[in-house]
Amino acid sequence: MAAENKILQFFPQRLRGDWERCGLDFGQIQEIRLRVNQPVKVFCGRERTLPFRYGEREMEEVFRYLCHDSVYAYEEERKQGYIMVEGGHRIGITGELTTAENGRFIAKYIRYMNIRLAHEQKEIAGRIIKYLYHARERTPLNTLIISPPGVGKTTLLRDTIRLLSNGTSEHQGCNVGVIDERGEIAGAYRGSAMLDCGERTDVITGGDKQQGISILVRTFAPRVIAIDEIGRSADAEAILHAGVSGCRILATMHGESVEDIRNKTEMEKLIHLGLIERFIVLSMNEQMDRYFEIYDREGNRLCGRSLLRAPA
Amino acid sequence: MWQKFIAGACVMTGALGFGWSLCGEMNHDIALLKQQKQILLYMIGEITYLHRPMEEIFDLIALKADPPYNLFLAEIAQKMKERDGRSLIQLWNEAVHDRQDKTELSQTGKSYLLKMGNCFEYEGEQLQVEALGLFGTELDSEIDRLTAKKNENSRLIKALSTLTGILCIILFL
Repeated sequence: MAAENKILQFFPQRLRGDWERCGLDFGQIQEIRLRVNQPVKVFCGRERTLPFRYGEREMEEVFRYLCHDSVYAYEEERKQGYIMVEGGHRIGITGELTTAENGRFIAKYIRYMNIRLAHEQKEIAGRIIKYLYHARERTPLNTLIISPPGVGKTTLLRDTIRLLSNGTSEHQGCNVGVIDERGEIAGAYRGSAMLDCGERTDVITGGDKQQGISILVRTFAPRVIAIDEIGRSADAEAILHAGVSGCRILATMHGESVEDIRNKTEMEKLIHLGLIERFIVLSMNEQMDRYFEIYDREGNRLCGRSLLRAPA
Repeated sequence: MWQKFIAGACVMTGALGFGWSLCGEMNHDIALLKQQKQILLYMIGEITYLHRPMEEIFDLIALKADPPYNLFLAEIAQKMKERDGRSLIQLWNEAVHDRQDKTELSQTGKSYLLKMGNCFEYEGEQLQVEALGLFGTELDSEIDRLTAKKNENSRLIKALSTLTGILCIILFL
């Protein structure tokens, strides 16, 4: 599918005309917001309002099409509030919820959708990777990537995984196990990674972190286990389990700074034990430029605020 | 005299041949419907056990089914993968109608295939399985009806052709 037509893959035939007339550049779009009876909005660095809106019927139609006309097959995802589609794009869905089994909720009427487009960015971890290895032993270190939402934690995590897995000119590649609960890291679609996570990477999609770590440790012998968005006490326990099993951890977490993370009770044990050896803090300015800083276990700054980007 | 016996035998053979060809068509219909039933059971299994979406199920069944359904399902799965904006029911109906000239599918086979297409796009898993199950019951009834009709016709044709042959011989005596 040509780049300009990629956006059409989300919409049934009847609704494609409006998108074709808009002439949007798919490569620039980060988010598409569909709200029932409200103008469609896209976010490409800045918000843009499109001259059409969808009613209830259209919202249902879009959802059905995104589910490949097999809505029943996406019941679990529907309960979680998002579905993953080909290309690693994640679609948040909500509306009126109703109780499903085990006290969980399911969107009965889908009226709001947020299509988050996955854009792969390779080599953005190129300047960071050397800090993530032990200087003498040349082995990977336990690393935590910290940033507020929307700054690019997952994108950086994916590229770091790729470099650890493939290796660099200075370091050999190693087996990496990825626990991709929501399919965002690897852009997993029906279990297959759609985005490049490296040639020595095994990806577990769905499930939860504890289960994933347990499977990886028992059967895949990864050198590094990568996890997105830790934050609960159970996640910290799972990471400790992986650490005890001799695996290195590469994880991301919402936060503003290392101090912010140190103050989170859920992570207390991990920090107290000194398990995390590197902290990468991401930030973004108003021009959408991303920056990184790197700290060691004790909080010493190893690398000052630097621009995060792929080499030209 | 011997010409009369030959004429009688010819009439009997012709009538039997006609009977067999008629039964053959019915056998073909029954075989097609039985294949549809198998496909249906496979679909229900895949939906219930692995919660696979239809596109994947069609792909898998296309590998196992006999002609003409293997090509039919492979074609639908391929069109679904192309994501050209058409719904499954649209694609299904078009593919069935496209088979007007590619007739390995009889009229009965086609009409039931069209009915199967209307059993998709249900939201809940249970609802989807039940819709397919209901169609399965309909298929079973049709298979039973055709089998009974075939047996009845077969007996009738055999008796009629024998009687016609004997009548010819008597008339020529």
